[in-house]
Amino acid sequence: MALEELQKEYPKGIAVVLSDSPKDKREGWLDIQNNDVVIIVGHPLCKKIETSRIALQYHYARVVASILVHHISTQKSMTIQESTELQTEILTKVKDKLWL
Amino acid sequence: MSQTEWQEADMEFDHLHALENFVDIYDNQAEMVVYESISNSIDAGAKNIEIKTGTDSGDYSVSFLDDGPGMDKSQFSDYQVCSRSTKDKKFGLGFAGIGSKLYVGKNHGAKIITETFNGQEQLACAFYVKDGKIKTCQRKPMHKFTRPGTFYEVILSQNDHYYIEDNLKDILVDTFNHAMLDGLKITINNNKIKPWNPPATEKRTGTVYLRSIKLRYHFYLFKDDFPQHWKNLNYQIMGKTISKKKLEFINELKAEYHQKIYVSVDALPLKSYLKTDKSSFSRGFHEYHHVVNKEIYSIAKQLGLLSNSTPNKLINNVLTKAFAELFNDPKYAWLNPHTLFSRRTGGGGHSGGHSGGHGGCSGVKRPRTLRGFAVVLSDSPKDKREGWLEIQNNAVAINVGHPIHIQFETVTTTLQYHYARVIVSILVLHGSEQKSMTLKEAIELQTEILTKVKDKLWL
Repeated sequence: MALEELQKEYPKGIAVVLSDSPKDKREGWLDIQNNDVVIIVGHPLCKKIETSRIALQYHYARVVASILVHHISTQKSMTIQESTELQTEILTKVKDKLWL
Repeated sequence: MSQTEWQEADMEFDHLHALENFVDIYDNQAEMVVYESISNSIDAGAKNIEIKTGTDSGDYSVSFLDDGPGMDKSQFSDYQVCSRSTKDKKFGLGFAGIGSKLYVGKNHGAKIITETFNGQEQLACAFYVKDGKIKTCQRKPMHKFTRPGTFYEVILSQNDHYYIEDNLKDILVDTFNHAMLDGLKITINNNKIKPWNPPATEKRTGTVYLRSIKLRYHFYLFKDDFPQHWKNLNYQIMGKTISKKKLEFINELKAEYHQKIYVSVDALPLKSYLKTDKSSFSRGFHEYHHVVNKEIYSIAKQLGLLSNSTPNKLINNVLTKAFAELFNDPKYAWLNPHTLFSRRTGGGGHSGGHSGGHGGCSGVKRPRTLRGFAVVLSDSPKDKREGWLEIQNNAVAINVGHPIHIQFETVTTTLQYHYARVIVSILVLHGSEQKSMTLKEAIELQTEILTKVKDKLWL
């Protein structure tokens, strides 16, 4: 259900942009004005795995899923368990499109 | 009936709707037709089964002719009553009294024709749906039997017919390979199906015991890899594969043996754990699965098939150590599953003062050595969760059968990241049950923990 709402809200999808903001504690955020999901490539977690292409892609996917789920939760009340399940659902859905 | 109740009547039962619901137990209704028919023939003691697919007189059909003993009048009469069966429900492989009628429940244009010959008389009937009800009617026998047996024909939907035509051989080998190896002969349109029996470089036979149950197994080390969709452990009853499982210690094996170790377990002593669809086991089965894994682990060790520095073992050690250190920090100690466990059970050897070293007594301060948790792997492909907390075992279980895990299991760094992410997500989820937090706070806490343990983790 929540996934369908996301599709309705972003029928053309979202853009992912990278930002080097090493002092920001977040791994990423949603830039609503530009319809962008921003991933902080200066975050220590991202820096740690950036040499592994597959791990990095997994990291990007996880961050995007987490940001989207958080965004949905601001519009529709959900428990932490539901948010965890939704993140897993999103990652499972996109996994075949992602990993090279 | 008490004085406040009136109008007692037998509760009506919507048979058709019940059958429709039963069909949903199976993943695929075309495969269900094959499973149920072959299972019933095996239950009847058949040694030969002839399968024919066709489109005679415009109908799409599949038929099964076995050489079982056939049914007498009384058995055939019982056969036509839904849910009535002479079979011991726990023993037979078919869904007793139901399985043979299921297909018409979901496909109202379908028809099931059964003819049986017990050496003395030949009987025939048909099942179909008419006016929203399941009908059974007697028929003039048409099939020419040369020996006792039962003929079972299903008029299928077009899609199911083509699915069966395209996949029948694979369905039979996947599920009834052991029955065929044990002597069951199956033909499809007069062509004999060969069971899968690849050459092995090592074969062993043994028995494992748990609570007076003995499970006999055959261990094979194949020369070549087995097909991708097969798994190492095959639990079968009377030759029908009930459950396929990956070895629990698969990542501790040298990579070249991942698809060469094959174990067939005769699971007949576990028949009481069979679920209704006879295609899986209920919860208690896992203890036996674990014992089998331990036995195969020792064989793999003897044969030198284990890797000295397996990613899985290394990941597990690194993970448990990293999180044990994290829990020594008072800020995160409350997330320790062991703390949750102690709280729920009223404490144990490690209870008291877990919440940050403020535990009250005067005198010498003893260092707090909090226990961490174990990471256990569970192959549960049907479970949608990536992992869960096993409070009783003080363990975090990671679902290695989850599609996301399967995607990464070959890349050590990503696998470790995945494990860490799943563990952190489980810890935070359970932490949120102890201490109220918003979703934003939960996400931030997850990032914070991952950042904290990252330097201990990635190899």
